[in-house]
Amino acid sequence: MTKYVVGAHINLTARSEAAAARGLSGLLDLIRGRRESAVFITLVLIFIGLSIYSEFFLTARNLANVARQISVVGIVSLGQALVIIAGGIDLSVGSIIGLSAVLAALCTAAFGSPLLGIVAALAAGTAVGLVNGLLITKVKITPFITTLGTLSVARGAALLVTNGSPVRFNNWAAWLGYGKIGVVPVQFILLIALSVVVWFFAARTRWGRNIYAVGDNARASRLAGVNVRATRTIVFVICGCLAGLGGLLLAGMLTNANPSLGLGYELDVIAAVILGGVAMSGGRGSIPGVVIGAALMGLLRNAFVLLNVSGYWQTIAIGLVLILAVGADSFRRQADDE
Amino acid sequence: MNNYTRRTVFAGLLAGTALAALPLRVAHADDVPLPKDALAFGASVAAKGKAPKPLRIAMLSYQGTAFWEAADVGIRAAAAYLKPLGTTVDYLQLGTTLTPEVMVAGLDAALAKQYGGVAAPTIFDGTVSKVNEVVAAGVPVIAFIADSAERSNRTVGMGTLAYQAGQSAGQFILKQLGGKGKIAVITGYLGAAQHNDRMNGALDLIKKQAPDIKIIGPFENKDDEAAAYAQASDAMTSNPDLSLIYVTAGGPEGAAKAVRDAGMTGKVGVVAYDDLPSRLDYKEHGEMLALVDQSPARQAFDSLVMLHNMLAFKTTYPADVTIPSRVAPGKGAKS
Repeated sequence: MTKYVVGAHINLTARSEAAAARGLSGLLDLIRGRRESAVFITLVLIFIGLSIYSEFFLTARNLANVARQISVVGIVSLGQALVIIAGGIDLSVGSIIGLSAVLAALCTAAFGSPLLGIVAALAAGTAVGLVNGLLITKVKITPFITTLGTLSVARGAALLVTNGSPVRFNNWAAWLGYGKIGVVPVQFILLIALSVVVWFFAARTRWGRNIYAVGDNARASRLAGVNVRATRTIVFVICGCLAGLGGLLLAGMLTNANPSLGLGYELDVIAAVILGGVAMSGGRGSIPGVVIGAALMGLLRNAFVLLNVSGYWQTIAIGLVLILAVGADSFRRQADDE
Repeated sequence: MNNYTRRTVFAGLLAGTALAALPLRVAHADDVPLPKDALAFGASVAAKGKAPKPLRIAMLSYQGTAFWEAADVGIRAAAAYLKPLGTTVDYLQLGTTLTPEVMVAGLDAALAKQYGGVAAPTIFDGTVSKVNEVVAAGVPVIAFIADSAERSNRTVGMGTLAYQAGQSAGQFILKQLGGKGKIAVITGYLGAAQHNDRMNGALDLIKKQAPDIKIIGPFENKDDEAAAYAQASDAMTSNPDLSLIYVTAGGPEGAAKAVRDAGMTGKVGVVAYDDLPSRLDYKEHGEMLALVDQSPARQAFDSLVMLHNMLAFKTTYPADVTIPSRVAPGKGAKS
């Protein structure tokens, strides 16, 4: 009996070990197979490096700073990721941020209701997103040109309604931008929550599958019965709405809605999306990867200040890290193909 | 000579003298008093009188920020002041993109519309040849706010000297810190001559007079308020002994907000540029210790009135007019 039990135990142990080895090997294969793994490893290495070289990095305050700094780019990147996966691009997100911010502040001031301000910000972003979607699907203007146009229109509208001057935004709604729950910035909590929602939408719903299908092969998708126009429109609407939320959060954080808010953000957002493994050609990408991409860029900027890196080197450093992170993935894929 | 001839000659001489004296009387009229609103923002050049014939002058300026809005105040005041004096000011709005190409296009438009004089913030070296072309066409040009680093043939260059403005900021900072402490520097664009001059003007003085003061940065915020917020937050986190944040260009509100949010008001101060209404709250509350002002409204107003005087009365002005950098202290500043 004992021999049997011991034998069974040994057998179980051997099987467990084999399963664990397969599990470990499987995990490694899983990591190697993911497009965003190189970026994730870069993120981890920078995290470890900063923990060693800066005594302030792992403090609650600094981690809260980093969390806040990656939040707006991360949130807007979620929407941009859906657009790019569907085969498009949205250059207007930075301008939507500015427009939403000032409309939130102006509506709040005009009606005395921060709630209306929140609605105005989200509605503005959604409206611009809808215009983008309709121009692309109905009028058949390419996404690049459409969103280049709405980039100018939205920014101009923000400047027009404010005459170029910032508008105060200091009320309870601003708490979404500057507030904390415990030590965690509210913005970051919103980023995590929205990441889960968008991941679920993209990976677990029919709409999400349609987005990937349309991005991969729009013609085949149409023949398979997917409503390509509706799919493309919806991703721009989501992207616009999230950019509107980004504008609200920035205005809240600064308690000041400047019409130039978000200037240049489209480049940061697109970089975060690409870093996160989304293919510019469409049809591929993961939402967790986008968050990793946004986190990498935020962490780099935090690192520059913590390590007192001269501004002259910062731009070079960002470029080198991007090339390294994405290049490592390309190199590995080429090696695998061979 | 008979009486008739004598009277005729005398009458003729009298008429001739009166006619000759008329333009001289107009040309030498007393200065037209400056309006109260113009005096409030520091306008200092008064019109010499009404122009003998109608004049048209062009003001080219940018929009899109509180700074340019402040310049607009001076432009509107000058237009209202000069209108009854026979000079029409046409405001050619260049938009929000600060590039040499935009300014060159504006100068081309001013030439095409045959204005008698032009005032513009030329700023960039790429505008030099166009400015020279305008001047060569007999149209005086006043460059205000910031002139190109390469000297053009502009008639008058008006502005604060960026390096000296930096030194003013540096002097103020030294007074606040008393010779020791730590400063973080946030600059707009590392490649912008004006931002570099402001930065170096302050830092050269500080390094010379207080070598014990530590300087971290510069960090480039590209005039972005949110970037200034993030950089100020990180600088305060990684430098608990930080005393002051020096912002050389746009977005200092972000740095001041970061100080407030970190609960460091009174411990960390911000010194920046341009005394604008959007920064008043931080001055009053104590986050902003001082703002070094360029007086954009005054510069816009003075440059237009100068053009009026040049064209109407052949008044001459020095080729370089330096506007003193006014340091406007906040409530938290040590006097």
